[in-house]
Amino acid sequence: MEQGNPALPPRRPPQSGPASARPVSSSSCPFVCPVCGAAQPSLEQLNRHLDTSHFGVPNSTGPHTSEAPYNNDDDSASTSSTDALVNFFRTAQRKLLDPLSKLGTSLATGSNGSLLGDDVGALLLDISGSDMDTQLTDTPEHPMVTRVHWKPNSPNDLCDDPRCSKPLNVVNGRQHCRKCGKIFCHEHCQLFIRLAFNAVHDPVHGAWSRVCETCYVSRSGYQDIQGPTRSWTTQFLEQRKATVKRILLEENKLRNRLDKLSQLPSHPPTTAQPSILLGKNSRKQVEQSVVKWEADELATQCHGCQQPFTGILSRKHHCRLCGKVTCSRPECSSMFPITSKTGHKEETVPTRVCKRCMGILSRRTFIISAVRTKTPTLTAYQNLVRYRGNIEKLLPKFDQLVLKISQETSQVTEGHVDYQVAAKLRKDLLDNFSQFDRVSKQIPRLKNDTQGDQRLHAAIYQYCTHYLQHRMFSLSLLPRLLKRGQPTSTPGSQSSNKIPSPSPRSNSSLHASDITGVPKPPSSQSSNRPPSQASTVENQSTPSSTGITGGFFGLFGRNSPSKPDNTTNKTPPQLTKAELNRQLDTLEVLQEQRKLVETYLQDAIKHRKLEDAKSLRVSLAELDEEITNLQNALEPSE
Amino acid sequence: MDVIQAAQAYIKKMVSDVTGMKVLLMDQATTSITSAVTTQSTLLSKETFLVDRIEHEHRDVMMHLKCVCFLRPSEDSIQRLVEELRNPKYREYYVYFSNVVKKSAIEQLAEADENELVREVQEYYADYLPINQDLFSLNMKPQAYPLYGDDLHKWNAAALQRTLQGLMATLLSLKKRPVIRYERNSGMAKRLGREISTAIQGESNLFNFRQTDTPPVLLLLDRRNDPVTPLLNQWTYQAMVHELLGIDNGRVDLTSVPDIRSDMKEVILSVDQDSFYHKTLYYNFGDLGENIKQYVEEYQKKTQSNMKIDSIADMKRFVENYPEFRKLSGNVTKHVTLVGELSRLVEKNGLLDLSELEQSLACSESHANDLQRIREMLASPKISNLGKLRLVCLYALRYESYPNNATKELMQMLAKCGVDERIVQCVDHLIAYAGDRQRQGDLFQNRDIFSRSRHVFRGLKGVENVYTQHTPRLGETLEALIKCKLKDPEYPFLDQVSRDRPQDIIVFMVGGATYAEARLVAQINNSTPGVRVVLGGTTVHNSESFVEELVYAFNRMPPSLR
Repeated sequence: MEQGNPALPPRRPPQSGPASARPVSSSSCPFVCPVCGAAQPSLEQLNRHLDTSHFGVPNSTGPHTSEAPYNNDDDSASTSSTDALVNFFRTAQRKLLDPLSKLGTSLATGSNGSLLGDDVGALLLDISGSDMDTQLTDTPEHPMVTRVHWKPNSPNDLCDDPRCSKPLNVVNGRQHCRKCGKIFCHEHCQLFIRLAFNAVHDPVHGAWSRVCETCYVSRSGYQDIQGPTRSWTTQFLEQRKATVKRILLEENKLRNRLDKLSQLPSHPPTTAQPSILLGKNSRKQVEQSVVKWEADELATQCHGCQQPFTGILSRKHHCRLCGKVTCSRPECSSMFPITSKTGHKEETVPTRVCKRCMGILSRRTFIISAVRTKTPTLTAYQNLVRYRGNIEKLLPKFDQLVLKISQETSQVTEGHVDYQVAAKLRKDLLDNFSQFDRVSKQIPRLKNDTQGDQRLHAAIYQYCTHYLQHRMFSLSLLPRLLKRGQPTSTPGSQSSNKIPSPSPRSNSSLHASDITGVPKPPSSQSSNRPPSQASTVENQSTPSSTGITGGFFGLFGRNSPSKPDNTTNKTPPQLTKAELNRQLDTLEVLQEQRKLVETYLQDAIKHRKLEDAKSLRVSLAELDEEITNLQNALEPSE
Repeated sequence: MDVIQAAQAYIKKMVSDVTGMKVLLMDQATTSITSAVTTQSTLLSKETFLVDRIEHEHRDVMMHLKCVCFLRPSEDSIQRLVEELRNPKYREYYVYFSNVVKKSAIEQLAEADENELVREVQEYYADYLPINQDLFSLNMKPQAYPLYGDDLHKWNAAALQRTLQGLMATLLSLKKRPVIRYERNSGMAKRLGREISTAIQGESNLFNFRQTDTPPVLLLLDRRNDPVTPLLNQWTYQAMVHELLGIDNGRVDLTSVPDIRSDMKEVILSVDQDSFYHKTLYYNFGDLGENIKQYVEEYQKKTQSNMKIDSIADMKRFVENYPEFRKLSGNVTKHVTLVGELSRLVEKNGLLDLSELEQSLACSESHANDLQRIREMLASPKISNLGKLRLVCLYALRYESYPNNATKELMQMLAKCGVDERIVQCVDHLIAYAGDRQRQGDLFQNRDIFSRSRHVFRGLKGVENVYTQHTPRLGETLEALIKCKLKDPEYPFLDQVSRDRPQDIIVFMVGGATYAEARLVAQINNSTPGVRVVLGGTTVHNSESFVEELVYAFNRMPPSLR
């Protein structure tokens, strides 16, 4: 501020506050507004009138619709609107004194409006307080940003910032956000962005305008976090075409040579008397007719591994296809079987081929195998992806339905259409989930010869576990919703509601099968169960149980096609099938949990986390007790 | 303007764009970047089942996997990728380079990809190490990238190249095409600015971002103008950990801590993944103690509720929450260990007394008194050698032009304390590097009578905390820049000039930033609405690494300059 604003509005004669702003009857004033014809007592008043009523349409002729909200502002402006005054100063300077601004600069520097009345001075400070505002007046070619959308002032305004809501007054300030038009206290409206005439953000030609934080932050691109990228793929593929072309030519050449080699006699007739050495040499000689061999003396190092040939152990070999010298290590050259004819009989002659030629020859098969090979891991994973796709498709639908049902809970019963659909979806989902789980459990058991495969399988399994944990959440909501709505349902289904429940949540003890229409006979057993047991069952179908993967599908056992219902024979007369199943499931879950807690415990002991171990032991004991209880309950039936 | 998010966005994009089972193959540079902004489980949720280094030559062939390669386009990595494509191990290759890549490298790769396995070649500009939301480092160690060339005002060519690349990647990922300002006295800052300006013009279609209201500012500063900040003991969490234990790539090595548990030998500090750390990063040591107490209490409460298992439901809840609980317990242990070790070191090395004297040297002038106390400290067996060296360095800087300067005597005392001769030399190096004649601006506010009196006047206001009086010089510079008052002669514009109030500022410190400055920048970001500042540096210094870099630089110099 002390810098001195080059274009600080030159002082205007001190104004005696609100009193002077009263409308004066037209008879006594010589000034008439050129736009609307209203009489004004003085030039200043006329100016203000123009600013407040006819803002944004300078020099326009005839009434304008856009000014409607401000038509009556004359009176209220002087009493309540500090903005109007601010605008007045700004525009007065712009319109009347612009040519004098250079002169005004020297006058105004350092004065900061101290000559003005106190309240007006404060306002003036407000303007000069921001370099940005004065920049606006510096550049009169900018059109003024429209104010049509401004929220009208009222005496009891609060700051529109949701965190603030201070009353707006002289102390807190009163500012319109030029963009959204809401009113804020000074603190929450002190940022500046460039706005075009129609109050839309225009970073290039806009005028600096005061805005609130929301508008500041919501400028397009301001909070963009995705950086730019550049793709070389097209250029790369273009370049690669040349490579492939070259390789194809080379491949052709090599294949031709291969054909020639195979037509050569495996034991060419020798001119002189046969000897062991010559017999081999003669083949070598004819082989050289296919491609010229590199001279041994010139080759100092292997073409494959670049190792120099030293001593007797690293012998020089020639690739029969390109003629270059390589060593005999399997990384550099290998024997390739070629069928060759000697007279009438066919014979397989192992022929040395270097790594490079080998690669070119087998390239096509390699590419095909790369795309087509189906390892067991891949097949399993493709299955996973398929089930995941199904889940991904069904789950949003299901979630939507559940939401809908939950909003009209009191009316929804088992027979409700939505409920039926949801139950069906739930069943499908459960099927898919259990399939997904089944496949994921197979994966760690797949053949894993390499360390990489082991790591891969472990990672996939982990991924599946996470996936199930996150996705199975809403499944349990459905039965719970139903139960909430049940007091209005049929007496028949109410019977299950009479089970003494230790917690309200225990209502969700319904199983998938209950929903899918399997009638659940009311059983004396169920009502006799100890409360803690009931709550166990309840917990089985809550989403939280997804935390335990081991026992996870115990919960949905009956929905899972992979688990045949073989407990039927054992059903004793007094226990219904459903009841027994449920208890068996519970047992299974408990046992799985026990295992889990045990591993946690061992872990904790190993890491000397004694505090953890202590609490783990307690829970282990509880589990054991529960398991024994349950087993006792089941035993007499068996 | 959040460097963590910017880098995260890139990595997330590359692992989600490639669907199916895949392996993420990285080089050394990109591994540290990736591990700074993402976790194994995030990668796993995007079907990235394996993570491997391209340097490992004996990876298993896994034709059922797709391969996402995220590499810095360095000669070495390109060569390795060429080898990889010649002997492919995976089904398909999607190549992402972390910076601008040369056309010749693309040709080289196209030449090598005989089996037509590459599906995608892209540039994703995540080539810097994000540390906080508003702090990044290029992590240039003096051993790998010695900064200085022939003398202390010239770049080493490799270091300049790397700095240029890192800064370009930062600008690109934040989508900024800035106006550049630099410190006039710094030849290195100016050179870097020139290079960046040329590079931006050379890649003008890449830097074709949406217009902003005011152009962002890239402010290039030189460490030599504020050698004091890295020499001071810090008292905020992050800065303290770095000063006393050292943070390297987000990891803290705790092997030197007595009786350390085996799983705490190396801990990871990540703003992004550790909410307690994120909260307490800039807390001073006292507040930190309060907070860690609360944290432990909160944990105990959870343990209590875990202990109280009355029903099966409680037990179920316990089993479910256990992994999360274990994570919390690990985090509590980590911070308790760290803070415990910090307070042990503070106690053991007499850091409170030391820090008080350091602050007095940094902030006020009273030669006789200071000298007296330095002598006492040098004689004290409690103070570590590094602490003693720091004191002498600070003294040498503060009283460089003082008539009764006793630097030589103090250096001799240092040598008697058993400090290596080469390291004692460092005091002279420091004066040669950042002495009064090398610096721009009035660091100690003692150059003329006006600044002296202003300094005295400010001193009258009293000191809130005797250990944290000093504020880095960056504070004044940024304040002036934000208010449009940064003087053109001292901080000239390169090419383009902008007179508007800056809204987005990227500060880059040639010669390394510090965590004290990072804290300052975070404070400015919090307290100044509408202004966003990001700080970067060739590295992030503590006093040890600062001295080390200095010693290293001088030992490489020709003898005439030493």
